[in-house]
Amino acid sequence: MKDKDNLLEVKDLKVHFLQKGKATKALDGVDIFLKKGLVTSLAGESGCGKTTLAKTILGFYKPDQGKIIFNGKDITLPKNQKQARRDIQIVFQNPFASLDPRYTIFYSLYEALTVFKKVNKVQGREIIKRALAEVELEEDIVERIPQQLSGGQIQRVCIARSLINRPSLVILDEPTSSLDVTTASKIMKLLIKLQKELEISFLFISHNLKLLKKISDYCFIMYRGKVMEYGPRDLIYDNPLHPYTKLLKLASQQKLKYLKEEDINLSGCPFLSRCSFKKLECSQECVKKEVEPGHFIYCHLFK
Amino acid sequence: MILEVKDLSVAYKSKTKYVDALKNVSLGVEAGEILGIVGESGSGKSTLALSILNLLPFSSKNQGEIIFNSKNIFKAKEKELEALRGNQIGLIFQEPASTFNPVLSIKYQFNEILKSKLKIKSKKNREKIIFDSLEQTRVRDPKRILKSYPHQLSGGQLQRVSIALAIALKPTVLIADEPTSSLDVTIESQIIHLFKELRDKYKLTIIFITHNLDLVKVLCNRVVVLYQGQVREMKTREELFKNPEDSYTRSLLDSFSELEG
Repeated sequence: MKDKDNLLEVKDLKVHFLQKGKATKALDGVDIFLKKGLVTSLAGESGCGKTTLAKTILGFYKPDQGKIIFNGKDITLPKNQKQARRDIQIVFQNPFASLDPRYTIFYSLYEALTVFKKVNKVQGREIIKRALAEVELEEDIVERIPQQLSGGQIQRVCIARSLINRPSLVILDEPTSSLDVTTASKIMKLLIKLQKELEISFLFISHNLKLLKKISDYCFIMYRGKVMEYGPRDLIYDNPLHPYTKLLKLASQQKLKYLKEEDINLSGCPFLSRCSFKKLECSQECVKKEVEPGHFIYCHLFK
Repeated sequence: MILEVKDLSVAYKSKTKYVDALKNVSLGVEAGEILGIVGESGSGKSTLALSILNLLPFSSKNQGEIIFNSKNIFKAKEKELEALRGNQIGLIFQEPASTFNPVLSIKYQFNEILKSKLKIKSKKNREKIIFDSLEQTRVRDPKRILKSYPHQLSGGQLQRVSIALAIALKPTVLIADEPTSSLDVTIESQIIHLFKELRDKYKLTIIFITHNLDLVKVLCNRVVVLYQGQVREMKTREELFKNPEDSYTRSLLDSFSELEG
């Protein structure tokens, strides 16, 4: 994992939320890495910590333990944060909650621009015009407020906003899950096109394995705050080995009939209570194993 | 034919004019089938569901007929409608979190429905029905669920409870308006299989509204494609995926396969 082309490395990251005196382990020792210029995806069901990880990378949450290394610098330290905030951008899941309802589209984009650059309104207007053309929106949209736009249009504005400062990493947190099929497919096409044109790295978060198969190069599967399996896309989708990844694949094909609700087990494999292949040693901590070149798995079933 | 929609047009009133939501929609639902209604946002899917229960706002204009048990729903009296809603035609909404009253416990809301709809006075009988229907939807730990308030439950749990609530009244037709679009894949897949079970076990007729063609593929017997308030195509599932005739259906299938490969 000490490649020089790693744009971002997350090492043993822990984020715990205190709730009524108890700690909820949202992230419990996550190791991931992102290669430059590629699309890395993060999959898992609701509540597994995907969004928490994204928000921690952006600096919204302070990690309890661990490092986030971006371009060779640890961005959990305050002195390195300013540059990182410009270079890492996000597109949120719910388009209707991502823009200020009282700002015009022009102002929403202009504000994102002026935080990091000194531009006057005339220059700003030029840049915004280009940014909107990039996401295939009409120019006259700038004077409107979010309420007057459709979900697909707002999501395009959010993508334009995230790209306006030419970041090196964009985090896409389920950008299409609140849109319907026709709009979602147009947005996906746009994202794939922009990624190739601008050579930006994407961290794509979703729970839909079929969608991830379409866009990603590299894939991480998470469950209850831990990484379960990771590797190049084709190995993960065509040959999933971890019982949880297999279950997720079944679910995305609508073949999953019934799933036990989980018991909380504090030690060992987090998937223990739902796993149908469990063995005695599963109550102990899993270690990472390389099953194929580049394909890693955290499970006791593989030696 | 258990339910028939004949030449239905619905228009909503906006500030200055009427906006067409449905235009001359005709379709029939056979007993014991799952009929899928597909279309993008704004195509009139939910309006169709609401008009079947005659729940449209007063300001809307509607034309045409909806025949259920040889009665026209639009001409039924309020009392007849009361007996129809829930008891004969159940409805499950898209957003499980806003289906329930946030300040009342699940148990209270269950009891309220059973008292007003089925007129069951004995507490024991009500309890039996509640636990039976919760068991069918495979909710774990129903006792705890009944004590909880909606915000204490997850989306999947709430959707199961709202399905349990709908089938407790033993309706003959169930309308599900995008029941899984706010849930994640693992739960979605389980809910879909629950619907299949209900159809096979109780011969329940289900009208399944969705924009996800994946679900149509595994669940529905027949499919209606709606676009801008009009029926573009009505076919069996196999026919639809094999040779779509309409241009809109084809573009819908295309964007679907582009998205999910």
